[in-house]
Amino acid sequence: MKGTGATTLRAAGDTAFFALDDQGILFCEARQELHLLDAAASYVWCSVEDGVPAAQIVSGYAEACGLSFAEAERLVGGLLQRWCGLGYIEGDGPPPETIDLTTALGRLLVNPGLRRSFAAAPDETARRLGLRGTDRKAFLALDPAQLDVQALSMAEQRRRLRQTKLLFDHGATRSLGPRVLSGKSFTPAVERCWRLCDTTIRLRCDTAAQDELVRLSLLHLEAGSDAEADLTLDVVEGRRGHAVLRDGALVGYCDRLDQLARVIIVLIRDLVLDRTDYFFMLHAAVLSNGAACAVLPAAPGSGKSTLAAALARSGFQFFTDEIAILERDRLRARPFPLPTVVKEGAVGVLRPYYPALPGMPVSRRDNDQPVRYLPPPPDAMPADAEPGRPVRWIVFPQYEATAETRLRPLPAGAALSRLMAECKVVTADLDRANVAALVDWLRQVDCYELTVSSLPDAVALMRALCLPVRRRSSRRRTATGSP
Amino acid sequence: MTDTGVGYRQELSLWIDGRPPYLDFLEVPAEDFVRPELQNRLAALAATYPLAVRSRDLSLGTPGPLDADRLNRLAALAAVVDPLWVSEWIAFSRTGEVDLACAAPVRPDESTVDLIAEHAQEVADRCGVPLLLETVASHLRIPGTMAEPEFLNRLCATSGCGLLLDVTALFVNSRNHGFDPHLWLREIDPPHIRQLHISGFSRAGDRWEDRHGRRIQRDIWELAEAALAHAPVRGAILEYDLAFPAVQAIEIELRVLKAARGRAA
Repeated sequence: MKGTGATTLRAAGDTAFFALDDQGILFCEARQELHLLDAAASYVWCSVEDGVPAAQIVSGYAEACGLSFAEAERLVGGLLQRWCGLGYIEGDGPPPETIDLTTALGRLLVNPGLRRSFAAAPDETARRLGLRGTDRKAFLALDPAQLDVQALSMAEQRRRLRQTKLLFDHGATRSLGPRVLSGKSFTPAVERCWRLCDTTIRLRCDTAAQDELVRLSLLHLEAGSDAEADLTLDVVEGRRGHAVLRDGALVGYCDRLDQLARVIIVLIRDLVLDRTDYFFMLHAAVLSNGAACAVLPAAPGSGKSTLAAALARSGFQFFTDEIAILERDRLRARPFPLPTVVKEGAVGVLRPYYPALPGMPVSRRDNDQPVRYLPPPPDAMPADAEPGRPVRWIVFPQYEATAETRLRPLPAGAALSRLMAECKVVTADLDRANVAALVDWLRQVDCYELTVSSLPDAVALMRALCLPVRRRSSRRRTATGSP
Repeated sequence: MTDTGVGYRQELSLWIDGRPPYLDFLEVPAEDFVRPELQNRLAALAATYPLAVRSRDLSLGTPGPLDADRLNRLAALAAVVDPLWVSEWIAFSRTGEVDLACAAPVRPDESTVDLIAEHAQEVADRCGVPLLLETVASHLRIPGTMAEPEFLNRLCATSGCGLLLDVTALFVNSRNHGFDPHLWLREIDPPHIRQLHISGFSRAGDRWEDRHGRRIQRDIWELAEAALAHAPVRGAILEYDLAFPAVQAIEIELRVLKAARGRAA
């Protein structure tokens, strides 16, 4: 770092900063990015927002962190230079370290202001970036118009990629398109209606065996055969397996009867999600104490579903073991009680809670893994028209066979990072208002990490945390975001 | 003999499970199968179809060491399914500061050949299967010391890797940058080209885009057939992403691809 001098910088117009505990959330609306800043970076950012000259930021940073001025200057200068290069802050940044062509291209492709500078004065831009001498010729030969088109195209691709990735687990099977099965007239043997999240689905099965398999998994969602259906699915048995049709179009298929429950449950999940208005969808279990909810976000294999099933037999209402949907505005959790998927390894530990579980039909997933689809107990089901309930706890469960079962508080910033990692769908672009709402929501939620080696102990800890309804903890804060 | 197939997408999974006609090869996106429980799904697919694994986040063109976590994940995936090969972009998608999440072009010169070849060899060694290097569509051309075909030939020769030629990317680049894709193709040493990607292009104003959102156009079929005639291609994959046509249309396009392969043989 060659001296930050009296450089003055300002935050770019499309950024917003929100304090969260002793950390900060930096939101860049144009790029739809959320960055978690540690305490030191938050200090630097807030100083920039306050218009503090760079040299003064360095001295303040040195004092706050107990560093020498030179060391603080190196750290702060690197941060400011990077933020300048990426376009989060504007103004003449501090003198740069040397960067290579790839780093310079990365900055050009995400920072429209830098591209404008490059188009107007490529030499000066190369100097300000501190571009390595050997890369200068290639850099100066770049075509500004091509850079703009490339940046635009990449931004569009990133947006599409985000949607594609988010949709991956959502499995939009409707896209299969029309493929009418011919040569067989369809007269259903059994008709039944299922209701989930304000959507009623009529399922017409070709055989009683198909119906029985599905019925045992979806008992808790049965709405009576005379209910008015929003959509109808037909299950047709053919020579090669079982096809599921919607309006004559193939939307699901399986070779064997023991795979049918999985196909139907996935279809119901996707079709209902398509018809449901929500803001976030998380990979999480949700349990309620009757007044507020605990959200348990975790990747598959973490023991989340097993814990959720046990909690549903231990005084909690079961909202979901996998698909947590949060409403717009208030981010309340809505019930989405599909049956719990119980793998072979979990049957033994859940048997004390569900004695009939070992005798339930075994289904096969698409990887041929044997599972049982376990409906929640009737007394754990939320009411049919249950509105969203406020979230009061976020608990990240993780099964560790040799660790002690324990619950540890988690800083809100760390919780946000882990929460977003399990976030599967965001139905609208983030803006300042909904990011502020998200941060505000997090401020009002107590976050924990739950290490699980003993299921009964984990259930006891969750009961102690959430049952009965307790007074709100003192760490509830009010929302103040800046700007 | 060229195997023909599609890029695996969740939207097509039920159709793929039905073992449709003309589908004898699958390419799976590595990033969609990083979770352990999804690797079981991958193993089930590998038991049904010959598989190639497509990786797109190693950023071979970024100076410095490869991201160890990403490489470990890809190697673990390769160990589960034992694919015919893995593939990765000839591009950078990340710098030390920013994750672009899509391919940005590299400078065609000697230093880039050395950088990507070194990274490619490391990937192939870790995965224990061949690595194919995939061409990309780009609106940006970075001036270098070599023409693109020469750069690709040198890169394949130096790294020992084959080429995954994205036919649609080549066509789109030829339109955006004004060159003849068939002449370009003839400059690539035939043994390098091992796999093709084929999809429909789209247009946005005067931009030509490789978005995988349209039915495959005649220009693309012609170029694909030229590539099949030019090189001993082992696998050809149809890619659908933005909009999925009816499965019958996909089956027709697979049949067209098989016919093109037959004519080129």
